[in-house]
Amino acid sequence: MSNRISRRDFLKLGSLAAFSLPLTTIVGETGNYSLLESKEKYGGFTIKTLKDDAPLFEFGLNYTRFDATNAILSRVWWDDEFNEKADATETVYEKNDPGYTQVDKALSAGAAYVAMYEGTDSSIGYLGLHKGLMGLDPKVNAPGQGPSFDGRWEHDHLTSEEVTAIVKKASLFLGASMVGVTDMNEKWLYSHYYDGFSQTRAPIKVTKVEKVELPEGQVSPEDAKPLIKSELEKMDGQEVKDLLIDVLENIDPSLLPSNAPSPSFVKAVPVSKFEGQAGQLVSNLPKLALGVIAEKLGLDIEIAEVDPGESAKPRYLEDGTLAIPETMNKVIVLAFEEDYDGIESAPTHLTVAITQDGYSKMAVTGGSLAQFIRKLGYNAIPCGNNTGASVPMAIEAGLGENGRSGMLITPKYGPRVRIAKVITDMPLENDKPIKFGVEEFCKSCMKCAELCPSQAISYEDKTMESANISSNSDVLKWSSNPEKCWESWIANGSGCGICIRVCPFNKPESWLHDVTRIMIGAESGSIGSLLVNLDDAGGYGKKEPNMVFWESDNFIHIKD
Amino acid sequence: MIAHLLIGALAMATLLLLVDYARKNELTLKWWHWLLTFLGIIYAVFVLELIVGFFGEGAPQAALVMGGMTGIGAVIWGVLLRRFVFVKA
Repeated sequence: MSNRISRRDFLKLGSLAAFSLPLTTIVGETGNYSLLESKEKYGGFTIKTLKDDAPLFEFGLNYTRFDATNAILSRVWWDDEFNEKADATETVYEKNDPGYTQVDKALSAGAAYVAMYEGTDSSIGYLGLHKGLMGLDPKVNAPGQGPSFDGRWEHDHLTSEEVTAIVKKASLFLGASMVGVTDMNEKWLYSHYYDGFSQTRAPIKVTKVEKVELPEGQVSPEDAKPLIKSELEKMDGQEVKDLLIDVLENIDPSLLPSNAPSPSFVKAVPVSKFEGQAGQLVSNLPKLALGVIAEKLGLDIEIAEVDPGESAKPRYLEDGTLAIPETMNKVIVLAFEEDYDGIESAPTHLTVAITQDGYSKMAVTGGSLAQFIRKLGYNAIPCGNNTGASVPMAIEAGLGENGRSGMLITPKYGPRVRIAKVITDMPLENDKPIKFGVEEFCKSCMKCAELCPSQAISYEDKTMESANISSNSDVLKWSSNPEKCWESWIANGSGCGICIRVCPFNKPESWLHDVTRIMIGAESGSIGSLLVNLDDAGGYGKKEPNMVFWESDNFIHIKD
Repeated sequence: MIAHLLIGALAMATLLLLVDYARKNELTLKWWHWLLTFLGIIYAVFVLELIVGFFGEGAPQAALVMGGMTGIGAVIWGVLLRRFVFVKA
């Protein structure tokens, strides 16, 4: 017999291989989920999406919305008994230990700079008022950067999928690592917010949008704007500029909102900028200035004291209540990847830098995305940790599953993400919740529970009971103990993050781990146990931190 | 990057050497002998890439453990090929 491979046999073999490859991505249905092909964005996992009518969470009869006053980061402001216990906790680190050096702390301060800007931390890390970059109103005083003057973006020629794709592209461009959309589920809104900085506790309410009838002869500021705009566009740039300066110089500055342009700013803007763009340039002007301009333009209109569209806007009521109009029924959930090498250093002060960096990214992207939406003529509330529970919203928006640690487990980054959200009234298409084997894997893994220094993570099955007031009850979930978790923060003198570091889903991107991810997708307990053993054997998820942050990429070794 | 090139070159050199060995010794090989040889080389490439990959992401213990576990299979495969396929008449 010849020692050559016959061409016929070789082709047979090739065809067999070609046909067998797609079989690795099974398409079909299983339980309440439909299988989806494995995509790059899902980090190699085979993803299943929840069917439309299938329940995602199980609630008890006594479920009530969580009061953010009881969250750990709120309790540190008011709960003296809890603070006394925390103060008695012994620390487990020494000054200048690796991860606690001046360099590490300086990095933490640098990473926190944006997050702390003008009280943004009130909405980002704490659960209080919308401030700074996460404010309800845009905080810019440049003409043209305020809310849209031209009305709503006309997108009738686009499908809702295309509109959603544009918003998602903007989200990723502005800095998000992942983005998903879901309906507003009021169950996840906090019943109250608590702002430690101002010691304010007030309800969060979804409010009715009411049509207010204006007295005859009066027009709303929103209706007056197009009238003024059409008159301004008949004038040349110099005339518009002079008019604006005249108006702004003759209004008491204290009566103008902080985001109104100043006369000196308008003077600095070249005349060409006022040509044909008058509408945009006066977009930030309040009712008071609009009235003066209308009068100077000789328009016979009276601008109403009451804004009939007020109830459709998010706002703080006089008693401090955060009013979210019922029309703001969509939530855009954003996830931000945290640095892998930084998380490897958990639980040192370096981990705080990584967390703060996540918060800063949340502020920049959340605030910027809200501004993008406002400029399209819709309302937007950028939220950090405040206003609503981020993890369930992210699960509903299809970003991941809930893990034993209580955190969001994403396919691509595992639990190594920070979450922000933007509540809006923009019509968007929802994403479907996904499933990729987390629940089955977490049942047998236990790594986060075993390695948690304060044993705050449960070894038990999911439950509707909560460990204490800092966790919500009557919703079926793995219940961790936030009070014990806080003990670790105190003991470490920083934060913690060990549960993120040791989670087997926290792996860098590589084909090696994609193989594991495909195996996790099999949702088998015995495969899960095997993978956890391999994870241990491979040296992943050890108790001690892996201090590689400063060494990786920079080739230096810090020993101070 | 250079490690991937070296692994690729090594695999190709091994295949060419085996073809040359079979020709020089006038071995009678069936098509599935070549298939087993080809799969063996692919598997060896997988093992080497596994080791390089784990070292590359800063996980030397994983490189040694996983490399050891899968490497045993590659060695056994090689021995079986030598014993039953590339046998001089």
